[in-house]
Amino acid sequence: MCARAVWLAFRAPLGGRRGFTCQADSQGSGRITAEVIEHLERQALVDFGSREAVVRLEKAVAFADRLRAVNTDGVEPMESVLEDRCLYLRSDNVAEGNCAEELLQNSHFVVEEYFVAPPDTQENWNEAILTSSVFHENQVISYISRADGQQAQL
Amino acid sequence: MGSKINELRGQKVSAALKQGQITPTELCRKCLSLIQKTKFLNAYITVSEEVALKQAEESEKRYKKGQSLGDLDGIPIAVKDNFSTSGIETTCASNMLKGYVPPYNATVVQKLLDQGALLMGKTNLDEFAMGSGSTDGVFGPVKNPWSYSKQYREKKQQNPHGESEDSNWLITGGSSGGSAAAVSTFTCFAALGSDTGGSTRNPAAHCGLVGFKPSYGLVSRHGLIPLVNSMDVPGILTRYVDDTAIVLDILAGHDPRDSTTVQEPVKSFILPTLTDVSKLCIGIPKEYLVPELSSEVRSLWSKAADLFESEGAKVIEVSLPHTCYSIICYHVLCTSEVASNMARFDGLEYGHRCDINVSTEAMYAATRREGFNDVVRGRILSGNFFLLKENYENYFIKAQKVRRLIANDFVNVFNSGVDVLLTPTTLREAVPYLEFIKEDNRTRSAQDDIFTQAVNMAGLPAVSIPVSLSSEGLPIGLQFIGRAFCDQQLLTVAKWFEKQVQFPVIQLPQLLDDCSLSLENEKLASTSLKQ
Repeated sequence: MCARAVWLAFRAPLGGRRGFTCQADSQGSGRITAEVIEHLERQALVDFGSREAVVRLEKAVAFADRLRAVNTDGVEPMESVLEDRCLYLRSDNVAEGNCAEELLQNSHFVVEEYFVAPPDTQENWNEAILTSSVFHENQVISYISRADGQQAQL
Repeated sequence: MGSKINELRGQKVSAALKQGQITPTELCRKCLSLIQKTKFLNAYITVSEEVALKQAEESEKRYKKGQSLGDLDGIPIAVKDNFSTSGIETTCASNMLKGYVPPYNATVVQKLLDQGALLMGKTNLDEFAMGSGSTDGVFGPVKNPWSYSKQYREKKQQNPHGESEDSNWLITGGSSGGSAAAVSTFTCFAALGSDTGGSTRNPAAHCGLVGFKPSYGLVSRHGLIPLVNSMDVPGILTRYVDDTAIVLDILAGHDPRDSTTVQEPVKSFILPTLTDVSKLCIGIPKEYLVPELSSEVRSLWSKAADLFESEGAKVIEVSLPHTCYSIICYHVLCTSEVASNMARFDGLEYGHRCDINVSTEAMYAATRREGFNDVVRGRILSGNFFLLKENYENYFIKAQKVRRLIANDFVNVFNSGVDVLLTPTTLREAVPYLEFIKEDNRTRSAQDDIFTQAVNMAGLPAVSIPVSLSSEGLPIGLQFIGRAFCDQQLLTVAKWFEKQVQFPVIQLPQLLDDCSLSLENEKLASTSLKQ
């Protein structure tokens, strides 16, 4: 128990806060603090949803930690098994495309040739209400992106 | 003299089609009827009946004119539901893509269709191909047809009835379980799976099939909804090695749409018949002899090694020293690449979209919560953890370094003169679903992928061959691993071995008794796609 406490202290993330999730089970790393949870949820845009999910992550991390035992001094990371080859590059000619209509069909919310997204934050939503003149079913469209990838602000 | 559909392989069916002994439409209808009868297995998510019949009609016209496209013309095939199929729903067994209809075909699908194959349907899988049981998809689990086989039931001293009494059915393995179930019940002659950590070989072993993973870079991934870009490959499931070779012959080769396919022209994969194995060197990796390996699989592995030796091959023990770290390395790299690949599912351009429209972030988060199951979300979160700035070096880069060590282990062994490695495919035979679900997906995957995932990290070709039935009457397979881009040699050895072991055909009396396929003038037993 004492050694574990020392280990946990050593591994404390920046800020040093330890949340409710650091209840050390025998396989938990104790590193999944509330701060880390929040950060991951934001990065991944996926929420943990339950305590079990946090425990599962802790176990996954503990599992991954076992790689520390491998000596990788002087070993280069391998990104692809085909690293010794040149990737094929097509010649820069337009050979296909013009399928905006087909692609738009798969989206739930489309306006003309634009995929429609809600405003990116609550603040922008507030601002958009004041400046935008386009309303659609109680929503405000402030940023929309076209099927060809360009963005336009209304 | 009539011959039953369960005795046929594609080769002779192809011959029969050419000779007009059976028409593509008749064959198609037989397979559709079998799909209906085996619906309880849940192998198919979408049955493309109209499409298949139309294709059969066109195939028939070609045969009448004597203009068949090749060995696959008029042959029923199935495709795992993580390959894009134009105009046919492609779901990845996930809420995220329910109702998604791709506007294009995956390259491998297009190649099969160009050869006149009949697309019977899209098969079931673990959600987004994450899993080793085909139990975690949104359409429910796939049942292993061997649960209902005479061979299994007799051992359990049950009557070989239909499915109604059975609540202790077995898993198919995964994640390409639907494709495996589809092939092993004769609803098609070949099926596409995908293989990232063993997802084609694992269900092949559990369902008594040939499950082939090609070298990375040999077969196009364009249209295969990606999991781990540096490891994914399309896989092939068939009942016979010759059939695998025919399909591979069509699929292999450079695709301008997939820049990770190698550019060298590929030779034909038509397999010579090996009669003399005395020049072969078979390697047995000692680190694969793990305590968890069932005694029956271990015994079969040993007998297989003895068989090669008794026929004159050189059989030696070899070492892959980093084997015990392989599954951990795979876990880190897999979740990291998955986290990146799943980022495209945001509800904007395709797939599920939630009703929340307050802000983009809220919309993305709710869409992804609703669209993905726990397994997928868990892997995304794990992957994102390993990719955080403070963790990147210690986890992701570290794993990439370990990957090189693992790949080098294989290179060293093959450089020492070994032609092919022989290992188990799975720890044991298929288990009952109720037992399988006692552990979570990640734990199971870590256990079940143990012999298969190192191959994906090294990009090597590998194949699982069904060897024999266990004491419970269930299939056990063994795996052969070859050198990179020596897929033909690997399959040639596998074909020789297949002939030696004579794995029995599954007996499903209730399903197949009245499904005889009459082929005049020839007794066709155990025939394949090839002439």
